[in-house]
Amino acid sequence: MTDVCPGVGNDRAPVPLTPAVFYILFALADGDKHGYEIAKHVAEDSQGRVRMGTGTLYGSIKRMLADALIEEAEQRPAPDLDDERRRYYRLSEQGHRALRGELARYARVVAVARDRDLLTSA
Amino acid sequence: MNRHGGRRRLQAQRMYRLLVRLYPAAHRRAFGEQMVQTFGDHYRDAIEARGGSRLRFWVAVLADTGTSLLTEHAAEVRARGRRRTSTSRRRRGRPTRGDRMARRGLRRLTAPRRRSVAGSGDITAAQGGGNTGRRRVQRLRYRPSARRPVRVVVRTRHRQLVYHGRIAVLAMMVPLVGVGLGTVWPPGTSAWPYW
Repeated sequence: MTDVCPGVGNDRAPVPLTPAVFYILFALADGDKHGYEIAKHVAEDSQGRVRMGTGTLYGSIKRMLADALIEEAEQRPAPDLDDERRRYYRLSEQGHRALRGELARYARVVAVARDRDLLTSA
Repeated sequence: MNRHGGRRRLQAQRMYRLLVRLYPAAHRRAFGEQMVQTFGDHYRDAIEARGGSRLRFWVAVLADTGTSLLTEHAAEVRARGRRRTSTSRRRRGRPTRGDRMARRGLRRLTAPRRRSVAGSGDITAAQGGGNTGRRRVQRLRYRPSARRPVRVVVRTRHRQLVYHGRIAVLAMMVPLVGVGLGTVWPPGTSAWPYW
Protein backbone atom coordinates (compact mmCIF):
# COMPACT_ATOMS: atom_id res chain seq x y z
CA MET A 1 0.00 0.00 0.00
CA THR A 2 1.34 3.39 -0.96
CA ASP A 3 1.25 6.39 1.31
CA VAL A 4 0.27 8.74 -1.47
CA CYS A 5 -2.33 11.16 -0.24
CA PRO A 6 -5.26 11.60 -2.63
CA GLY A 7 -5.01 14.77 -4.62
CA VAL A 8 -1.47 15.60 -3.55
CA GLY A 9 0.93 12.73 -4.07
CA ASN A 10 4.44 12.22 -2.76
CA ASP A 11 6.13 14.10 -5.58
CA ARG A 12 3.59 16.93 -5.34
CA ALA A 13 2.08 15.85 -8.67
CA PRO A 14 -1.70 15.76 -8.36
CA VAL A 15 -3.19 12.30 -8.02
CA PRO A 16 -6.67 11.96 -9.52
CA LEU A 17 -9.40 11.99 -6.87
CA THR A 18 -12.26 9.52 -6.88
CA PRO A 19 -15.60 11.12 -7.86
CA ALA A 20 -16.94 10.70 -4.31
CA VAL A 21 -13.97 12.53 -2.79
CA PHE A 22 -13.98 15.18 -5.48
CA TYR A 23 -17.67 15.97 -5.02
CA ILE A 24 -17.38 16.08 -1.24
CA LEU A 25 -14.47 18.52 -1.50
CA PHE A 26 -16.45 20.49 -4.06
CA ALA A 27 -19.47 20.64 -1.76
CA LEU A 28 -17.36 21.85 1.15
CA ALA A 29 -15.59 24.50 -0.92
CA ASP A 30 -18.31 27.07 -0.23
CA GLY A 31 -18.56 26.57 3.52
CA ASP A 32 -18.90 24.15 6.43
CA LYS A 33 -21.61 21.51 6.11
CA HIS A 34 -22.96 18.53 7.99
CA GLY A 35 -23.35 15.06 6.48
CA TYR A 36 -26.80 15.34 4.91
CA GLU A 37 -26.07 18.79 3.52
CA ILE A 38 -22.96 17.39 1.83
CA ALA A 39 -24.98 14.53 0.30
CA LYS A 40 -27.58 16.99 -1.03
CA HIS A 41 -24.91 19.25 -2.53
CA VAL A 42 -23.19 16.26 -4.16
CA ALA A 43 -26.46 15.25 -5.84
CA GLU A 44 -27.07 18.84 -6.99
CA ASP A 45 -23.52 19.48 -8.21
CA SER A 46 -23.44 16.25 -10.18
CA GLN A 47 -26.95 16.89 -11.58
CA GLY A 48 -28.15 13.72 -9.90
CA ARG A 49 -25.44 11.52 -11.41
CA VAL A 50 -23.74 10.84 -8.08
CA ARG A 51 -26.10 9.93 -5.26
CA MET A 52 -24.40 9.04 -2.04
CA GLY A 53 -26.11 6.81 0.47
CA THR A 54 -25.46 7.37 4.15
CA GLY A 55 -23.01 4.44 4.41
CA THR A 56 -20.95 5.53 1.42
CA LEU A 57 -20.95 9.12 2.59
CA TYR A 58 -19.62 8.41 6.07
CA GLY A 59 -17.12 5.86 4.73
CA SER A 60 -15.75 8.59 2.46
CA ILE A 61 -15.76 11.15 5.27
CA LYS A 62 -13.85 8.76 7.51
CA ARG A 63 -11.13 8.20 4.91
CA MET A 64 -10.94 11.89 4.09
CA LEU A 65 -10.53 12.75 7.77
CA ALA A 66 -7.75 10.17 7.97
CA ASP A 67 -6.08 11.69 4.88
CA ALA A 68 -6.50 15.16 6.43
CA LEU A 69 -8.43 16.43 3.40
CA ILE A 70 -11.24 17.62 5.64
CA GLU A 71 -11.55 18.37 9.34
CA GLU A 72 -14.29 18.84 11.85
CA ALA A 73 -15.40 22.46 12.07
CA GLU A 74 -15.43 24.09 15.49
CA GLN A 75 -17.76 26.92 14.53
CA ARG A 76 -21.42 26.01 14.60
CA PRO A 77 -24.52 27.79 13.37
CA ALA A 78 -26.81 29.69 15.72
CA PRO A 79 -28.33 27.43 18.40
CA ASP A 80 -31.89 27.86 17.07
CA LEU A 81 -30.75 26.58 13.64
CA ASP A 82 -28.47 23.93 14.99
CA ASP A 83 -28.87 20.39 16.24
CA GLU A 84 -26.05 19.80 18.69
CA ARG A 85 -25.74 16.13 17.67
CA ARG A 86 -24.64 17.15 14.20
CA ARG A 87 -21.02 17.47 13.24
CA TYR A 88 -19.90 19.98 10.68
CA TYR A 89 -16.99 19.46 8.34
CA ARG A 90 -14.78 21.86 6.46
CA LEU A 91 -11.91 21.70 3.99
CA SER A 92 -8.42 21.53 5.43
CA GLU A 93 -5.49 23.28 3.76
CA GLN A 94 -4.55 20.00 2.14
CA GLY A 95 -8.13 19.55 0.97
CA HIS A 96 -8.07 22.99 -0.65
CA ARG A 97 -4.82 22.08 -2.39
CA ALA A 98 -6.21 18.74 -3.58
CA LEU A 99 -9.36 20.38 -4.94
CA ARG A 100 -7.39 23.10 -6.72
CA GLY A 101 -5.07 20.47 -8.22
CA GLU A 102 -7.98 18.39 -9.43
CA LEU A 103 -9.80 21.38 -10.94
CA ALA A 104 -6.58 22.43 -12.70
CA ARG A 105 -6.26 18.92 -14.07
CA TYR A 106 -9.84 19.02 -15.36
CA ALA A 107 -9.18 22.45 -16.89
CA ARG A 108 -6.12 21.11 -18.71
CA VAL A 109 -8.10 18.15 -20.03
CA VAL A 110 -10.91 20.44 -21.18
CA ALA A 111 -8.40 22.77 -22.90
CA VAL A 112 -6.87 19.84 -24.76
CA ALA A 113 -10.32 18.57 -25.70
CA ARG A 114 -11.25 22.02 -26.97
CA ASP A 115 -8.04 22.19 -29.04
CA ARG A 116 -8.89 18.89 -30.64
CA ASP A 117 -12.47 19.96 -31.18
CA LEU A 118 -13.76 17.09 -29.12
CA LEU A 119 -16.25 19.06 -27.05
CA THR A 120 -18.48 20.11 -29.92
CA SER A 121 -18.79 16.56 -31.23
CA ALA A 122 -19.63 15.34 -27.73
CA MET B 1 -45.69 16.78 8.47
CA ASN B 2 -48.34 14.64 10.16
CA ARG B 3 -47.96 12.63 13.33
CA HIS B 4 -48.23 9.38 11.41
CA GLY B 5 -45.27 10.28 9.19
CA GLY B 6 -43.15 11.24 12.18
CA ARG B 7 -43.83 7.90 13.85
CA ARG B 8 -42.94 6.05 10.66
CA ARG B 9 -39.72 7.98 10.44
CA LEU B 10 -38.82 7.04 13.99
CA GLN B 11 -39.53 3.39 13.19
CA ALA B 12 -37.37 3.64 10.07
CA GLN B 13 -34.58 5.22 12.11
CA ARG B 14 -34.85 2.39 14.62
CA MET B 15 -34.51 -0.13 11.80
CA TYR B 16 -31.53 1.72 10.41
CA ARG B 17 -29.93 1.80 13.85
CA LEU B 18 -30.00 -2.01 13.76
CA LEU B 19 -28.23 -1.96 10.41
CA VAL B 20 -25.62 0.44 11.82
CA ARG B 21 -24.83 -2.16 14.48
CA LEU B 22 -23.37 -4.33 11.72
CA TYR B 23 -20.56 -1.85 11.08
CA PRO B 24 -17.17 -2.33 12.77
CA ALA B 25 -17.21 -0.99 16.32
CA ALA B 26 -14.77 1.86 15.69
CA HIS B 27 -16.75 3.13 12.72
CA ARG B 28 -19.99 2.79 14.66
CA ARG B 29 -18.64 4.72 17.62
CA ALA B 30 -17.30 7.51 15.44
CA PHE B 31 -20.18 7.93 12.99
CA GLY B 32 -23.12 5.76 14.12
CA GLU B 33 -25.23 8.52 15.62
CA GLN B 34 -24.56 10.87 12.72
CA MET B 35 -25.48 8.15 10.25
CA VAL B 36 -28.82 7.55 11.95
CA GLN B 37 -29.54 11.24 11.94
CA THR B 38 -28.57 11.67 8.29
CA PHE B 39 -30.74 8.69 7.45
CA GLY B 40 -33.66 10.39 9.24
CA ASP B 41 -33.13 13.58 7.21
CA HIS B 42 -32.94 11.57 4.02
CA TYR B 43 -36.14 9.69 4.90
CA ARG B 44 -37.95 12.94 5.67
CA ASP B 45 -36.96 14.46 2.33
CA ALA B 46 -37.45 11.40 0.13
CA ILE B 47 -40.64 9.93 1.63
CA GLU B 48 -42.42 12.62 3.61
CA ALA B 49 -41.64 15.68 1.52
CA ARG B 50 -41.49 14.17 -1.96
CA GLY B 51 -43.81 11.23 -1.38
CA GLY B 52 -41.41 8.68 -2.87
CA SER B 53 -41.83 4.93 -2.76
CA ARG B 54 -40.81 3.40 0.56
CA LEU B 55 -39.85 0.11 -1.07
CA ARG B 56 -37.55 1.85 -3.52
CA PHE B 57 -36.05 3.89 -0.70
CA TRP B 58 -35.33 0.83 1.43
CA VAL B 59 -33.85 -1.14 -1.45
CA ALA B 60 -31.49 1.76 -2.12
CA VAL B 61 -30.61 1.97 1.58
CA LEU B 62 -29.93 -1.76 1.81
CA ALA B 63 -27.80 -1.69 -1.32
CA ASP B 64 -25.76 1.22 0.01
CA THR B 65 -25.46 -0.32 3.47
CA GLY B 66 -24.38 -3.69 2.05
CA THR B 67 -21.62 -2.25 -0.09
CA SER B 68 -20.34 0.11 2.58
CA LEU B 69 -20.44 -2.70 5.17
CA LEU B 70 -18.21 -4.81 2.98
CA THR B 71 -15.85 -1.88 2.43
CA GLU B 72 -15.66 -1.00 6.12
CA HIS B 73 -15.12 -4.58 7.26
CA ALA B 74 -12.44 -5.08 4.62
CA ALA B 75 -10.74 -1.87 5.81
CA GLU B 76 -11.01 -3.06 9.43
CA VAL B 77 -9.45 -6.43 8.60
CA ARG B 78 -6.61 -4.68 6.76
CA ALA B 79 -6.06 -2.29 9.65
CA ARG B 80 -6.09 -5.16 12.15
CA GLY B 81 -3.51 -7.02 10.05
CA ARG B 82 -1.31 -3.94 9.99
CA ARG B 83 -1.63 -3.47 13.76
CA ARG B 84 -0.76 -7.13 14.37
CA THR B 85 2.29 -6.92 12.11
CA SER B 86 3.57 -3.78 13.79
CA THR B 87 3.01 -5.27 17.27
CA SER B 88 4.88 -8.45 16.42
CA ARG B 89 7.72 -6.38 14.96
CA ARG B 90 7.88 -4.29 18.10
CA ARG B 91 8.01 -7.35 20.29
CA ARG B 92 10.52 -9.22 18.17
CA GLY B 93 13.61 -10.10 20.21
CA ARG B 94 11.89 -9.38 23.53
CA PRO B 95 10.15 -12.18 25.42
CA THR B 96 6.43 -11.61 25.82
CA ARG B 97 4.50 -12.19 29.03
CA GLY B 98 3.33 -15.54 27.65
CA ASP B 99 6.93 -16.54 26.92
CA ARG B 100 7.97 -15.66 30.46
CA MET B 101 5.09 -17.67 31.96
CA ALA B 102 5.87 -20.67 29.78
CA ARG B 103 9.54 -20.53 30.74
CA ARG B 104 8.70 -20.29 34.44
CA GLY B 105 6.36 -23.27 34.11
CA LEU B 106 8.98 -25.32 32.34
CA ARG B 107 11.54 -24.45 34.98
CA ARG B 108 9.15 -25.65 37.67
CA LEU B 109 8.39 -28.86 35.85
CA THR B 110 11.98 -29.72 35.09
CA ALA B 111 13.41 -28.74 38.49
CA PRO B 112 14.07 -31.66 40.87
CA ARG B 113 11.26 -32.14 43.38
CA ARG B 114 12.05 -30.94 46.82
CA ARG B 115 10.20 -30.55 50.01
CA SER B 116 9.96 -27.16 51.52
CA VAL B 117 9.66 -25.97 55.04
CA ALA B 118 7.36 -23.04 55.38
CA GLY B 119 6.42 -20.94 58.40
CA SER B 120 6.41 -23.73 60.95
CA GLY B 121 7.19 -21.52 63.96
CA ASP B 122 4.35 -19.10 63.12
CA ILE B 123 1.76 -21.82 62.64
CA THR B 124 2.45 -23.43 65.93
CA ALA B 125 2.48 -20.07 67.67
CA ALA B 126 -0.91 -19.23 66.20
CA GLN B 127 -2.29 -22.56 67.28
CA GLY B 128 -1.11 -21.84 70.73
CA GLY B 129 0.87 -25.04 70.97
CA GLY B 130 4.13 -25.21 72.72
CA ASN B 131 5.62 -27.64 70.23
CA THR B 132 7.96 -25.30 68.41
CA GLY B 133 9.70 -28.05 66.51
CA ARG B 134 6.69 -29.04 64.33
CA ARG B 135 7.15 -28.78 60.60
CA ARG B 136 4.51 -28.34 57.96
CA VAL B 137 5.45 -30.11 54.79
CA GLN B 138 4.24 -28.53 51.62
CA ARG B 139 4.35 -30.15 48.22
CA LEU B 140 5.26 -27.95 45.33
CA ARG B 141 2.33 -27.76 42.99
CA TYR B 142 1.62 -25.76 39.90
CA ARG B 143 -1.16 -23.29 40.51
CA PRO B 144 -2.41 -20.88 37.84
CA SER B 145 -1.59 -17.46 39.16
CA ALA B 146 -4.89 -15.82 38.30
CA ARG B 147 -8.25 -16.37 36.64
CA ARG B 148 -7.61 -13.64 34.14
CA PRO B 149 -6.51 -15.80 31.19
CA VAL B 150 -9.75 -17.81 31.44
CA ARG B 151 -11.82 -14.64 31.32
CA VAL B 152 -9.82 -13.40 28.35
CA VAL B 153 -10.56 -16.61 26.46
CA VAL B 154 -14.28 -16.33 27.20
CA ARG B 155 -14.38 -12.71 26.11
CA THR B 156 -12.46 -13.50 22.92
CA ARG B 157 -14.84 -16.34 22.09
CA HIS B 158 -17.81 -14.04 22.66
CA ARG B 159 -16.31 -11.47 20.30
CA GLN B 160 -15.64 -14.19 17.77
CA LEU B 161 -19.29 -15.26 17.92
CA VAL B 162 -20.47 -11.68 17.48
CA TYR B 163 -18.11 -11.26 14.54
CA HIS B 164 -19.27 -14.49 12.91
CA GLY B 165 -22.87 -13.38 13.41
CA ARG B 166 -22.10 -10.15 11.60
CA ILE B 167 -20.47 -12.03 8.75
CA ALA B 168 -23.55 -14.29 8.48
CA VAL B 169 -25.82 -11.23 8.28
CA LEU B 170 -23.51 -9.76 5.66
CA ALA B 171 -23.72 -12.97 3.63
CA MET B 172 -27.51 -12.81 3.80
CA MET B 173 -27.44 -9.23 2.63
CA VAL B 174 -25.38 -9.94 -0.49
CA PRO B 175 -28.37 -11.16 -2.59
CA LEU B 176 -30.35 -8.12 -1.39
CA VAL B 177 -27.51 -5.88 -2.46
CA GLY B 178 -27.47 -7.58 -5.86
CA VAL B 179 -31.18 -6.97 -6.28
CA GLY B 180 -30.76 -3.38 -5.16
CA LEU B 181 -27.94 -2.65 -7.54
CA GLY B 182 -29.84 -4.22 -10.40
CA THR B 183 -33.11 -2.40 -9.83
CA VAL B 184 -32.36 0.93 -8.24
CA TRP B 185 -29.03 2.12 -9.49
CA PRO B 186 -28.27 1.64 -13.16
CA PRO B 187 -24.52 1.53 -13.83
CA GLY B 188 -22.86 4.91 -14.03
CA THR B 189 -25.24 6.74 -11.73
CA SER B 190 -24.31 5.60 -8.27
CA ALA B 191 -21.39 6.38 -6.01
CA TRP B 192 -20.86 2.80 -4.85
CA PRO B 193 -17.94 1.63 -7.01
CA TYR B 194 -15.73 4.53 -6.06
CA TRP B 195 -14.67 3.37 -2.62
